[in-house]
Amino acid sequence: MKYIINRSVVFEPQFGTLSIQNDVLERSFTLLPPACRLLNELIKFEGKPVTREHLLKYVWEDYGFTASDANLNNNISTLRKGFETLEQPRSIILTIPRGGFQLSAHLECLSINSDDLVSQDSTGIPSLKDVQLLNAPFNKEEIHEKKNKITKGIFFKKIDSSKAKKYYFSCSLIVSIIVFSFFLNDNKISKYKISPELIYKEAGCSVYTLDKKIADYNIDLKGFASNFLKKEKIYCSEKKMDLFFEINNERERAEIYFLTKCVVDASGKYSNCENKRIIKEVIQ
Amino acid sequence: MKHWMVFFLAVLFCLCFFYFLFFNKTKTIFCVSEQVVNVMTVDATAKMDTSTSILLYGDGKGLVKNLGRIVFNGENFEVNRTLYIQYTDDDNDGIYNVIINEEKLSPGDTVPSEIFHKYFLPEKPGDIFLVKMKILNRNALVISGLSNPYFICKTQ
Repeated sequence: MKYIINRSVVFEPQFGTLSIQNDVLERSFTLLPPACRLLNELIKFEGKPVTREHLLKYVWEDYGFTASDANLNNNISTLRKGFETLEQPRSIILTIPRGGFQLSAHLECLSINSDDLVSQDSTGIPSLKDVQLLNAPFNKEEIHEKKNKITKGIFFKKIDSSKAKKYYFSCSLIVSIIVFSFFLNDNKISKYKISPELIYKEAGCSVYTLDKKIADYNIDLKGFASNFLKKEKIYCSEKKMDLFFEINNERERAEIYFLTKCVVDASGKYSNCENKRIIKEVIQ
Repeated sequence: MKHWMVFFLAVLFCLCFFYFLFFNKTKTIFCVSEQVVNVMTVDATAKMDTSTSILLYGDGKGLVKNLGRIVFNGENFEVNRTLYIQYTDDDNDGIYNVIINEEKLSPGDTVPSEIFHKYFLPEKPGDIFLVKMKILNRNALVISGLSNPYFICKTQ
């Protein structure tokens, strides 16, 4: 595999060399493996910016080496020096501020077996797919995987950064604490509610039973409650009230009658609640 | 980008710190009611007519104040006492274990304790009993035993 850069410089990754095409003086520049891999990665992105994180990962980490910005900077410098010796401008590798690097050059690729161009689009630059297919060491599965890896790598590069992870984790933790505290802030009692069952309505009164359901009673609860209210001299035409009525006459020794009268004010809330409990011992 | 993130996190941390310091206090429930309890047995008639105030703090402590009258077999007594309680709901089912830590009688309270505890409140300091406390409709709290309601109070 060969790449022709700016129509004059030949890059042969398998030998790690940069040379001038058809140079009478046979000038060439040998690249050490890291610089060679670095240039390969820049070429793969077809003149688009490549982030520092991507280069550190695919040039060093994936090969078991420690990635460092210093290494990257040194190898970029080496590449620039190499291109300069081959009459190319240093700006052939652009530095993207706070971003990465970009190979700013015309690219062509040649297959191993033939010096003919395999393919090129209208701009004269071969597509990424063609570059990868022609890259002899890879088989089709590896190509597909590597293509996906590159695509995903570009997307996940920010999230995979360990510093970004720490920031996102910290933010999530703080937001969770704030949300959780809203639940803790309320008194626990508030979460238990009772749903009384309406026995009947009369004028301004709504008469309910509390815990026990109407079906639990084996008496005419409406009639009983109505008589009870009359006995207690509670008249429904006077004010708007909610009345809560309950009887427990299943005990052997006592009958218990419970009546609460809660007056409803103009805002619909209770202004006052009066309770009456009558406990009658049953004479056996 | 880095400086912005650090600044943002610092501001968020400060906000959280002050929030927990000043605002994160669990709500207190204050509830009042009027109570009339008539007890009719073979050998006695007892009637209690009191104003009951309940204060339930979010930390599980509270108090119940009773102020009013008791008529026992025709004899009048004044009620003016406060129960200091602790309540917990370990099972998170709305049924609370309530323990009376102290029963404080004000000087105006003239009810003999035997009458009060025999006919109106069997539980004494140190006793643990089960109570259901549930919110009712608009602004009321239902206090009941396992079988019967005790009273409904209006929350403030």
